[in-house]
Amino acid sequence: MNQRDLQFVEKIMEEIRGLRNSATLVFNTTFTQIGKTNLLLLKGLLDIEQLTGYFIVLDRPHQYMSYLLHMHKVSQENLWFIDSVTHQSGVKMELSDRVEFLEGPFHVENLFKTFEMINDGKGKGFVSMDRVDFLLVDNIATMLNYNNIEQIEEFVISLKAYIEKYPHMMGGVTIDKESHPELSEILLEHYDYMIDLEDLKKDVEK
Amino acid sequence: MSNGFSRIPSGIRGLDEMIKGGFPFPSVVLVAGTAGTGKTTFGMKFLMEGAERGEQGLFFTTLSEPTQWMLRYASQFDFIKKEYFGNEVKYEDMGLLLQREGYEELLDFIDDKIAENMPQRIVIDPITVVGAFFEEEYRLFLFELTNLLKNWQAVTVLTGEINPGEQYPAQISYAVDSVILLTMLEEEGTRRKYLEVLKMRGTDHTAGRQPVTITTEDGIVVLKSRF
Repeated sequence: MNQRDLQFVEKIMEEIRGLRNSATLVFNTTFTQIGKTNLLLLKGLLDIEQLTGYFIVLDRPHQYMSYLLHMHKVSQENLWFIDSVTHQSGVKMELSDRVEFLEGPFHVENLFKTFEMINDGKGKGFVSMDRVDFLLVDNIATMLNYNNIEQIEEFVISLKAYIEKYPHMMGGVTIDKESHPELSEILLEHYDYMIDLEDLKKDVEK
Repeated sequence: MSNGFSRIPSGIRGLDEMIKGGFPFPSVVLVAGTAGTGKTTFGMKFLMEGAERGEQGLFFTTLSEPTQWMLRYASQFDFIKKEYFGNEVKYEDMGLLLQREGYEELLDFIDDKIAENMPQRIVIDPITVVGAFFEEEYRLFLFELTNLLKNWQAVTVLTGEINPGEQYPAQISYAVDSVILLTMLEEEGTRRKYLEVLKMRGTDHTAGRQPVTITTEDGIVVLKSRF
C-alpha cells in the first residue's frame, strides 16, 4: 500500500465513522478495484478503527484475502471469515477457529444459521455476534452467478434485519453499480447509504 | 458488460472492436509472435492504457534487463509516459531468480509481487524464456502460473516467442484464456505485420489476420478489421 492508498483508507474511514450504529452501507467502486477495495476497507476497519468483524467471502477462497492482509501487514487478530467459495473450489478446506465454511454460494442464506450457531457457543474460537462491530460482504454481484435476483434480494433484506438486531454493528457490501444496475437498485432501496469510492478517491488525489 | 463478462480495454487501437470491447476481467492472454512483431510494445501499451485509467500495472521481465534499459526502450514511443514507471507501472526483474532458483520460488516471487502491488494489469515478458531454464518442469510451471494468475483480480498478458516452424507456443496456449498471434509475412518484397485472435474464451471475435502497424505515437495499431 502506498501513501495514496493510506490517505484513501483514512478518507473512507472518515466518511463512515459517524454512521456506524446498525448502518448498512454499499461501497460502490469499479469492478477492477473490488479486490483492492475490500483490502483497503479491512485495513481501515481493523487497523485504523480497531474494530472486530467478519468478512463474508463470495468470490475467491478466504486464503487470498488472508494472504493479502498478511502481505500488507494488516492484523487479523480481530477478523474471522465466513467462506462460501472453498467448498466448491477444489481448494482444501483447512478447518480452523478463524474460518467457517458454508456449503457454497448457492446456500448463502445459511450464513445466518452459522451466526446463530456461533452465538450458541458451537463455533469454538469464533467471536460472538454481540462483540462484532462489522460484517463486510465481498463483491455481492458474484452471487448472481449462483442465485437469481429474488434470492439475492431476500439475502440483502435478511442481512439488514440481522444487523439491526445489534445496535453497534455495521454492515457493508461492495459492488460496481455500473456493471450491475438492477442489483444496485435493490441495495439502494434497502440499505442506508451508498458511498461512491471513486468520488472519494478523486477528492484524495486533488 | 458483454456476454456476462466485465471487460477492460486493451489499449491497442482497433483490437477492442474485434473482441467485443476488451479483454474479459480477470483473464490470462497470450500474445505470441516471432522477433520484432511488437510483443513488448503490445504489453507496454496495455499497461499504459491502464495507468491512464488509474489502474495499477506490473511488468515482469524474464530477461535480466535493468530499469534503465526499459526507460531507454520507452523513450522511442510517445505513448509511454516515463512518470508512470515506479508508480502506476511497477517493473520487476526475474532474470536472476530464473538463473538461481527453482520454478516454485519463481511462482512465489510472482505471487508475492502481485499481492504487494494489487495490480489490475500484469505483463510477463517473455514467458517462453522460462522454458529454457525449467525444461522438465516447464509444463507444470505454466499450469501453476496460469492457475495462480486466474485467481488474482487482474488481466495478465504473457508474451511468447514463436520458434521457427512453430505456429504458436502450444505448451502455453492450452492453459490461457486467449491467444493473440502477431506475425510478419514477406509480401511483394516487403515485410508486413499482422494480428490474429486465435481464441478468446467467452467472446465472439473477428477471425483472420488483420494488418497492423507500429507507430511511435500509438504503438500497435490494427489498420483494417473485418467486424
